Amino acid sequence: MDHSVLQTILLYTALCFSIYQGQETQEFLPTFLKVSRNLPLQRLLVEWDVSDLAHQFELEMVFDIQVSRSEEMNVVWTEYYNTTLSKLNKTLHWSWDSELPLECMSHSVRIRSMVNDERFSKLWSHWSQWETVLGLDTSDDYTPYIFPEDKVVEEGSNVTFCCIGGKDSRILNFLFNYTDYCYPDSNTSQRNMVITMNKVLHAEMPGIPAFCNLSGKGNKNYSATLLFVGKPPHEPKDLSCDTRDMTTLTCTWNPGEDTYLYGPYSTKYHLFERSSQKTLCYQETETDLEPIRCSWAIGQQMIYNLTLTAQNPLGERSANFVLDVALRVHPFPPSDLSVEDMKATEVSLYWSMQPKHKAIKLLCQIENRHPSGEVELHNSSVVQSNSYPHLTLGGLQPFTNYAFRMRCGAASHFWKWSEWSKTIRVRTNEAAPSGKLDVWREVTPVLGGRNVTLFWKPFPDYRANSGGISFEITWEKLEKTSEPEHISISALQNSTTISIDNHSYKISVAARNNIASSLPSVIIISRVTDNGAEENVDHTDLEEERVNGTVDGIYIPWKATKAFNGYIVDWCNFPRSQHCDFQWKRFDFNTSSCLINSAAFMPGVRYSFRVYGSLANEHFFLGKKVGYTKELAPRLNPQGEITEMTSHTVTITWDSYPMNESQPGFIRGYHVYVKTMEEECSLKGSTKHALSDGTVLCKYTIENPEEKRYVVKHLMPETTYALAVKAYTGGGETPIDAYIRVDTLHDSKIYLLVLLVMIHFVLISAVCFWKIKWMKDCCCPEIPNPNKSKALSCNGLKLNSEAVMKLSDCIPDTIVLENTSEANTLQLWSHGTILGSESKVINPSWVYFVQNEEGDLMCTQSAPEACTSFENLAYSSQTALGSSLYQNLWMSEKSEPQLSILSYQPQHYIEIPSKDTVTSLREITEREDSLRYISQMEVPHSEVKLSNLPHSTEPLEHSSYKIQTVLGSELVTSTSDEDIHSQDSSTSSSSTVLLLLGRH
Amino acid sequence: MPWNVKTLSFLLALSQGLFIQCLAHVNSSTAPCRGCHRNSLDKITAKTRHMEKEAKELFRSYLTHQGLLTSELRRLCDEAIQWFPTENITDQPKMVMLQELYRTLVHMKDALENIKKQQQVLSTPGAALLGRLESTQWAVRGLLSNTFCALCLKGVLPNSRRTPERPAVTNTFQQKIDGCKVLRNYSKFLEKLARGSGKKAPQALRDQRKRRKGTKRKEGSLHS
Repeated sequence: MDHSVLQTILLYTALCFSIYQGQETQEFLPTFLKVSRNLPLQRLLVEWDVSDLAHQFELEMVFDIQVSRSEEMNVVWTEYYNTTLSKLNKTLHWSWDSELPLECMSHSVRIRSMVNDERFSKLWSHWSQWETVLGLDTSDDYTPYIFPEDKVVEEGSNVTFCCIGGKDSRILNFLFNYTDYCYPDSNTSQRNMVITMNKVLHAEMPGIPAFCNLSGKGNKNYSATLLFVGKPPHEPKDLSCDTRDMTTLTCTWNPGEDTYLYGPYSTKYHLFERSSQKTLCYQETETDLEPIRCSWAIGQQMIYNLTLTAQNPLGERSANFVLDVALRVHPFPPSDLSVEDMKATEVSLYWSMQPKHKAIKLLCQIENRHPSGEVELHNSSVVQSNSYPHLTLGGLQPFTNYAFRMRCGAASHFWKWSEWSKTIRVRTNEAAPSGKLDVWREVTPVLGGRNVTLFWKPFPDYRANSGGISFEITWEKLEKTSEPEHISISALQNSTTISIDNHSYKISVAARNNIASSLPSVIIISRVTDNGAEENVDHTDLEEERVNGTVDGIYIPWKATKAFNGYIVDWCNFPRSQHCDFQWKRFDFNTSSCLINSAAFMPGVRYSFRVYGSLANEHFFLGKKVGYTKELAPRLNPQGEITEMTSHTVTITWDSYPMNESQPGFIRGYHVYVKTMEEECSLKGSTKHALSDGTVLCKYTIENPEEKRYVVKHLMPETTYALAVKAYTGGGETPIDAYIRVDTLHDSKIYLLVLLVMIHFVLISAVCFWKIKWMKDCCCPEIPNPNKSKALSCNGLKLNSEAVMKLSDCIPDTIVLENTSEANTLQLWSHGTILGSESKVINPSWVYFVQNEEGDLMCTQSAPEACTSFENLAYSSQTALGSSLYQNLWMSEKSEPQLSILSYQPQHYIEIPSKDTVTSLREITEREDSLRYISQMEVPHSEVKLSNLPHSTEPLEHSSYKIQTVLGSELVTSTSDEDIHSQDSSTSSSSTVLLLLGRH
Repeated sequence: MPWNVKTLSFLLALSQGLFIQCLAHVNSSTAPCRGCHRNSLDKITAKTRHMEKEAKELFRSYLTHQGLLTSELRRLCDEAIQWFPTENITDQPKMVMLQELYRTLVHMKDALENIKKQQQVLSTPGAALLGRLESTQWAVRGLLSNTFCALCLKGVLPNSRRTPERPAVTNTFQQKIDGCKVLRNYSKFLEKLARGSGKKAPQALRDQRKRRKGTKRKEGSLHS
């Protein structure tokens, strides 16, 4: 003891002496410097020491630490490390995390120190020696390396890789995530490559390959590793803890978003209880989608101070929460739910709960589902979980199916309901029918009484309360006491017919089941009055009132009075069917209208409604209403019939057309359509009606549906018309599909007028005939006859007749032969074909052409005797001056002069008009001046072939006879070649007067 | 006489023992072939063709999924694996071929299991590659069963001795490359197998035709 005290004193003395001696020169050089590596953490660990003296005085010191890389000692880090020396722990520690994997290069550390004490001069000590840990690039190994190996980094961070080739090998390139990074040429001799990847992103692959391609010696000429890029864990979501049985506490949570790290790098969860300092759970995520569950035994601990930590290589997130187990009770669903003590209107439910070993106060809820789908919830009183509780539910309907299920929750501190128990289905017991039936009737008079058809249906408050129901019907006379009659009807029926006499009757209807009968519904049928009419019974002959129908239904109004305590409307849903589906509806006393609608109502069907007022079970008929929900156009067309017809009118009738309920709408009137031959309707009193095809009809409207006859007026006689009749309703009318065709008669007045005109004409004709001579003299004076002329006074020649005049008979006075220089146009014809163009025959001889055997035309003397023919236009039979006007005069000659025939034909001295020459009217007029009688002298005849005919030779003398009349200018017309051509036949057929010069 | 009785009883016991032995031998030879069809060899041929395509798709999927599509990385997968036959086994006698096939498939079954385990750890759950690996596992099991049957029906019970499992590679990249090598070698192996069986099929047809012609000639010569 004394020895130690002495030692301390000596030390102090020495120190004080040394401080006193050399305050400015005192330094504590770091000694025993040691550098090592923690490779998993890529951390450089540095240890050193200073002299014991510094520790003894517990000096505050500063250490300047430098870290250098590679053999060139490039300082990459400098740090001042402040510490107060301790007497107990003499070794000093410092560490440094390297971004570059420590294996890649050699790392060296050196330290110098300074005493941070006012008693000492603040001077740095000398640097310690560099202490180095060698990198793999310095080894003689032929194995290539790459660092870091299988590193996990956060997305977006920078990662530095280094490739170390084996001894004498060279790095060719570096490949990362399909990107090639070539090594700089300047460094090709080095076996070490450092490259930093900036802001790396996660890839859809388990680890991104980082690959170094090498050349050189060694078995392996590459080094490769994987980089795992992900995210730090997210805070757990939806954390929830509860207990079901107060024995085990279970916590669940969702891991949150994807970290892109799987397997060994996936997120791990720790659930730590701080009070007890226990780890309750350690869970790994298999997928990021499924919730994670952790359970542990509760024991006696009721309050938990929990910390949930999510951890992966990139970080951790924690969440703290405190929970009271008593507040997190989520009971198991009730089991063994059963029914006992079943009654008609109430039922007792029994069930069991968990836990049995502990008594938890629970509140249970029963769900009662009605057959209609209605749901009722009933809460039970607080029950112990280890008891066998029950609950009685009342207010149920008899003979009704119910479905029950239940759930429970903590009564003291409700946390959440349990799941629903299994559903049980029960049917309550039977009971007597409740409520009343709604009864209605239809009375049909029959011989000696009435048939009453009773209908019934349940009132809203009626309930059968049993399966086996029947209907009891009882009826009895009101006036006289009689035994009531009774029948029972099965539940399947809702109507029946009974027969009663003409007295008043009281009819009651009640439902009956195995238990009892319901209250009866009573209806009274009034008696028949003395005059045969029935009181209050249907008066269907009353005028029915039309009512309007809409989409929502048919509106039925009535006059409400205070005399009734209610109203009833009845109708048939299918009035056209034998089973008409009879319906009725009751209304309050203050109702005066209703809207009747039914799914069975159809457009185009006439529905009939009867309205009754009710008073003390008696019913009074108020009226009948008819209507349609929607009127349609009549399907049946009126069969129109023409009953009367004149030249100007047509009467159409359609008497047989029905207007009853068979019609799909109320017949409002008729349209009569008239189609005329004219395009436009012009009949007076009608309107125009255009059809879709553009046809316009005349339309007449008859607005009285009872009027089934119409007279169409203002028609034209002897004209065809088409008529159609269409009926129309509130739904319109159908298109016209058929017409009745009708022809109006002749107008007799026109015939009368014609007859009168004819009578007048005959009278005038008779007068004219009677005075014909006078008329003739007046209108047509006598023209001198050549035969009567003295110049040709021949013996024995009869006047006014064709005669052959002998030359010897005639004593001519003077005959003048005149040579006409005017060229006459002679047209030569053969078989209707013109033989030559116009030829001017100057030869005044008469020439007659015949056809010889060779077919040539010969100019021959057709008759042995010459004759003279005269023709006077005024007296000739050829009065028609058509083609004969242009007939030429022909002359025929024979070798024998005595046989020559002079054929005379009218020579109008008009040139035959041709294309070249058309004689004008003036020329003709001029020629008329030279008209004179020319004697027909004998002309030498010779046989001449047509071909030898002179066409245009010297003018020949010819004798011509000019008519004695003055031709009207209208007779002179120009003709074409064709006209000429057509003259052939007329020429040959023309009658001529032949004057025979001689006869053999 | 007692010697005779003893001798007789001994002989009886011996004959009984031999009979039981004989029965036991029959049972042991036929029981493993239970459920085997006679056309197992045809099934092998058909299945091989189908599996060849599947193996190529699996290899492609693996490369894509592991990020090994570059030529440098893909080159690493070409390295031969010792337990795959170096030569085309279809060139060998049928029995040898079947035994070699069986041996290779046993290895392949284990290798696929390893790859699947590795991928289950590394990959996203539900990755398409896992589905393909599983499908290939089933196909290998089926082919293994058919090969077993083919051998069994020829009276050979294949050796089901397994090679000792190699120590797991710690480097994840190397695990990827190892899996890639297996799938590449497997694909090449099936390709050779399918090609070989495809060549043999026409040869077999030719042989059949020759046989038919031969019988016809014989029939012809008989007729003449």
